[in-house]
Amino acid sequence: MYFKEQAMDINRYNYESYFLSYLDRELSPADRQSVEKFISENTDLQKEFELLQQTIFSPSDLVFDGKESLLRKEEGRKVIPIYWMRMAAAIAVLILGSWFIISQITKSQVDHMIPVDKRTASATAVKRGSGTFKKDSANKIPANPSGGEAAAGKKPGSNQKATFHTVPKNVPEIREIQTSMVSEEGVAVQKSSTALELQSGGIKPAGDPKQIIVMPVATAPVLLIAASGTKDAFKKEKGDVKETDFQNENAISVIALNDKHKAISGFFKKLTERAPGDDNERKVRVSVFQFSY
Amino acid sequence: MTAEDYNDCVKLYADGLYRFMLKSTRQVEDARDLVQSSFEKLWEHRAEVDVAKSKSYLFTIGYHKMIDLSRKNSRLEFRETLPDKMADHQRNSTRLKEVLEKALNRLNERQRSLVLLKDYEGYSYEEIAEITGLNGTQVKVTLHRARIILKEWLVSVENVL
Repeated sequence: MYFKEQAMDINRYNYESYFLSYLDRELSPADRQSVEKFISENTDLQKEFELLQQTIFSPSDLVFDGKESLLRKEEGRKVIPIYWMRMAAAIAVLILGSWFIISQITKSQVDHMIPVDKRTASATAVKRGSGTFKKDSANKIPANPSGGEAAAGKKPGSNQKATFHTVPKNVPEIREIQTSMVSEEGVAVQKSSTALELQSGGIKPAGDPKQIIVMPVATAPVLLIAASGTKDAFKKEKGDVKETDFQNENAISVIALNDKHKAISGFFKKLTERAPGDDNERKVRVSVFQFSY
Repeated sequence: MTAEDYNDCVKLYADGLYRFMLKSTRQVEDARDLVQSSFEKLWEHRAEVDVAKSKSYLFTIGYHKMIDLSRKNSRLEFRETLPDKMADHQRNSTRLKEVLEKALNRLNERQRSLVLLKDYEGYSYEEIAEITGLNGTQVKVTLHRARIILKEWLVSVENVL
């Protein structure tokens, strides 16, 4: 793109600007021709044109020594993957660390729940797998709901304490149970809590959750809590059961029976877990269930 | 601009930028430092620089760095005598060139820069305007005034000789 001379055609008053633009190679071919023609027609101005021509600097042969020092290599491409790998590693460490801390806090909170009532705990122990009552000799209730229905015609004993049936094998022994009753049959039940204490020994973890049916001798419907032994559910330590892990939902089976020993079916949700205990005492878990049917 | 493009710029334009800086500052070390810092800046901003405009970008950086240095250091008053290294380079130059080199010292900073950009690098008025931040008319007028000053100097030297 040429820098246009704004004035009219070249003449003796404006020739200098044209000369300089010509020497700066800023004129169009047509304007260049005009300048050349003007010079040839005005020979007295040729000397001035030559003087101006001498003010043009010719390219120098100066060179910058040590150009190699200015050359660069792309380092970013090598750095970026390492950077992302470091970021990924840092994130992984943070996630694992957070998970560990949260799990520790959760465990700590669970360990600080209510301790077991020893007096109650001693009152209703049942021997595992016997299928009979230890304190109450009245009814036998099958482990499953259908079995419960089969036994529904039998009346529970007069003892108002809870009555336990530990029907299947591979079920932890239950020393004590607290039951809180809940609702009328056919009405959604809000919650109930039950404390279990496991006796030492006798746990044979099974692959599938097993049911323990617990039914109080009462006329009202009751929520029955049971726990089963799965590998995940129990931890053995020096031969004694120290803890029952109710956090594993699969390890828990709950059956609620009404006063006619009819199983109440529905959805049960465990709300809380176990109570802490002195290390010398057996661990007791308190589970609160919310269910509806 | 990739690293490869940048290195091409070094190979293509380092000499020209150095000449421009040396003629402008008349100080070899200053000229080298300005070239180095100009290329450093080009490297830092290579991701934003279009390859086609890399030379213009480089000279723009260099020009402004040179102006900053000139304003910062009053020592950039141009010497009548050339540095030894420059003198070596021009030992074989013609007398006219020597006279013209001296005449360059008679120009002010802006005039000198524009003459160098025009004659050494062959930039158009428009490109010089982009580099210096002036408009096209300012570039043209400044350059024309510079040429006239140079011409008058040549005439005066011829008269003395």
